[in-house]
Amino acid sequence: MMKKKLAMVLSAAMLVGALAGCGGTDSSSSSTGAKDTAKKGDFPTKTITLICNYGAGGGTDLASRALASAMEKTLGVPVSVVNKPGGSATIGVTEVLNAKADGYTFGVCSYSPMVIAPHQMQVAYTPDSFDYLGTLSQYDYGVLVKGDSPYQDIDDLVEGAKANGGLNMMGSGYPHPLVIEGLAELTGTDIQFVNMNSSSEVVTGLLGGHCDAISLVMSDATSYIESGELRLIASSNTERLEDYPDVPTLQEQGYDLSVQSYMGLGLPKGVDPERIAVLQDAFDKAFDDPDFQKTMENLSIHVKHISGEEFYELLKTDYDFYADYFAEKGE
Amino acid sequence: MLGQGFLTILMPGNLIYLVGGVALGLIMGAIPGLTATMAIALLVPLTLYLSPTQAITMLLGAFNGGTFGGSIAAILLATPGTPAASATVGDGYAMARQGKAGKAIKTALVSSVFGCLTACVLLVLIAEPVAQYALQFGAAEYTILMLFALTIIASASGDSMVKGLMAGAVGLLFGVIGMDPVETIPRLTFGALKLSSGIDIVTMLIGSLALSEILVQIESFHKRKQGALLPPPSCPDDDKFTRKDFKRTWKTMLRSALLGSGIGALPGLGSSLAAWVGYDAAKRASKHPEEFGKGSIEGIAGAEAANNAVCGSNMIPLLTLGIPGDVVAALIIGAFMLQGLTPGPMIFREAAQDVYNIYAGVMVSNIVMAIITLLTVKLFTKISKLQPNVVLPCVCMFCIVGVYALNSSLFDVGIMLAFAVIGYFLQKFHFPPACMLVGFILSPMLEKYFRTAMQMSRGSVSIFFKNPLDWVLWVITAVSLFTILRGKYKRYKAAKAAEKAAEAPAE
Repeated sequence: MMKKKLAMVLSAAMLVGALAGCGGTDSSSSSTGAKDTAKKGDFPTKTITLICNYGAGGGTDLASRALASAMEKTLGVPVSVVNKPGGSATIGVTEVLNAKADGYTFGVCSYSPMVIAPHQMQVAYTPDSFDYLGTLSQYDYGVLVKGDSPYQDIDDLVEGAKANGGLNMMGSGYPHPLVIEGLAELTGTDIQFVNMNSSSEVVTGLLGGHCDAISLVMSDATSYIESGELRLIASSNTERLEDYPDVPTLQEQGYDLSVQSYMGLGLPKGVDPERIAVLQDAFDKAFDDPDFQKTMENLSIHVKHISGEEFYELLKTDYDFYADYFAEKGE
Repeated sequence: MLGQGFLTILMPGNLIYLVGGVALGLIMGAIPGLTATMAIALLVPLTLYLSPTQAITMLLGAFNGGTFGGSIAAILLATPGTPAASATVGDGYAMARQGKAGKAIKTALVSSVFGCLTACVLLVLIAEPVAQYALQFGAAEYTILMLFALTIIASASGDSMVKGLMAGAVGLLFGVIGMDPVETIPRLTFGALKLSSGIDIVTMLIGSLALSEILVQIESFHKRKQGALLPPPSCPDDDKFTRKDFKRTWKTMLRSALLGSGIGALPGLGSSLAAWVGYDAAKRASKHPEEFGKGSIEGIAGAEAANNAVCGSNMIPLLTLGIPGDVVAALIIGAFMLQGLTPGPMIFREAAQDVYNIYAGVMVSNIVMAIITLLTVKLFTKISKLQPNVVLPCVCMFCIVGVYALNSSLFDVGIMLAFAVIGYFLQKFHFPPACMLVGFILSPMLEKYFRTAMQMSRGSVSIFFKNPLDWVLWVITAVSLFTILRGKYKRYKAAKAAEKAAEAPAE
């Protein structure tokens, strides 16, 4: 009798494990109540997979889930986010590359793994390997100093570097070295790029006085700017930032540097054009969905909708740019 | 404010999410292969539909439950349910083999609750100054801290320090596999894309501790008769955590709780490191250090108090600075942002009551965890009465499913199996796999901090001696090394004296 009870408990526990193993990420789609509406012969008739190349809970993941929820409303089938992180976000992109080209799988093809990572490691794809639905969001970048820092703009920063025989600027991964090392090169000063693993480490480093300035994604900076702990001294985009219209860009301050980065979505090549059109329609409609807009606002993500073709052109140009950049650096 | 927080938490609508979170965390922590971090990652998307209080307390409850739950598997099955329980395996399982599984689990429970509550008290009272202290730690300070942490390998060595150090070195080497922390170029990956982010700690943990233990058990299985997995308690006290036990361990718990809180408040370190530091500190301060590794109740208390303290203290940098103390806190930031709240200094102005609700929630989660565990502990210990040929295949299955679930990757499962073989041979030749694990945890951190510091100082080592804080850390490291060497020397002399005494009567 005891044995039977225990056997049942164990089987129940095993079921939990198995469910966690295969079904974890379905929770987002099932919770919106979307069911399979099988219209025979039509597309789509079953669950669509959205591959996210970053881990669960992070900004890209949450944005993907917001998109998935919005697209479900148009498509009428669940859109399930599956996380395949790792390899500097290239593993997820590779999964999209290798997926069946039937329109039931698409994924995040964000800027960095598409144009930068291929020059640092062996990947199986290039920007030509995918059809793009377009971009979801733009990453804004800026140069910041501590709230009580004497530096008011980039000129001050450069002066400081000259006076002190060098400066440390922290950033986490690309494209920050472009800004920081770019500044060093343009001004001939010893401004050193110090690489950290995440935005939080970069902010901690600045707040703790371990570096003099930082290059950061703006969505990670807003609360600190509001509280006065950090001050924005330049926008690294080609234009001024919407929320900070008084802060000039690097270019306006006389330094010919700018960086841009986007979160885009793509499909493996070879999907039937009719099916792409269906997905494209759902993707475009997502931007009008109020829930989607609200979530993106909560996440402080700068929504930017660039078309698939334009995104592709951008990727191609920057892919070549980085090829030269890394060749020069000797990597 | 805090009182209002407690009242809010105890409302059934909120309490049910807290209890659910703790229960899910406990289950996933206790199942080898599924971890507390995974539980939280699964829950974050669900929090979109909840209020901030419900969402965050559910996640923190799951983290707390998961960190403790890992020790249940560690004690009963010699397989840590989560990386944070890796320090509990040695003494926990040894105690279980002596029939004291119930006592071990209850010790772990009391220590975990104590650790988390201590951290919560710190969180509520002195979060701000603690956060400021955390800011003082730059790359140089972390480097010295990591050097100190390396001395823990010696502590986890058991009888042969040489073998422990060798295992540690192997672990350090495995930690190198992956991306260069500064240049972000892959190393030792042999072109395998899946290795370019390095080996996942859970994969290595489950493989080298859990599956290798199963292999060892299978080997010894045919030698002994068909019996229960573990012996029954020899006396009723073996199932309880008695007043005597408390008297023996409360100092250890307090010490480890404070250490764990300190480590949790430092971004980037995590509960696994805290567990080992707590265990190590307990061993050094103990009057019976020779018992460690063979069933010392202080060992369990030391490890568990520290790792659960992280559950409370990782909120310190999160709420005051908006900086996550560890991976879990980073996931929780996501949950905050889904709610439209931004953790950081502004949160006390925007949503102060929510913050106090969260404080209350974490504290209550400990009580919930204790209640659930005490109700179900009999059930867990019944597992030890089962035949190993029923339990071991189940554990094996959980491990494989769990590791696959991490990244939906069969490659990870392959790595885990490779480590199972490596761990098996390590055990056979009496190399402690735990040392390999500690080396593996520390290697990427030590390298990253050291190289970043050198970058910042343009290659000058003076950066390691700039602050008073640096000197304090150096002194701690030196003292640590000194006590280890002195301990070795004492044992050497004692062994020599024993030899002489053995020879004397023969003369």
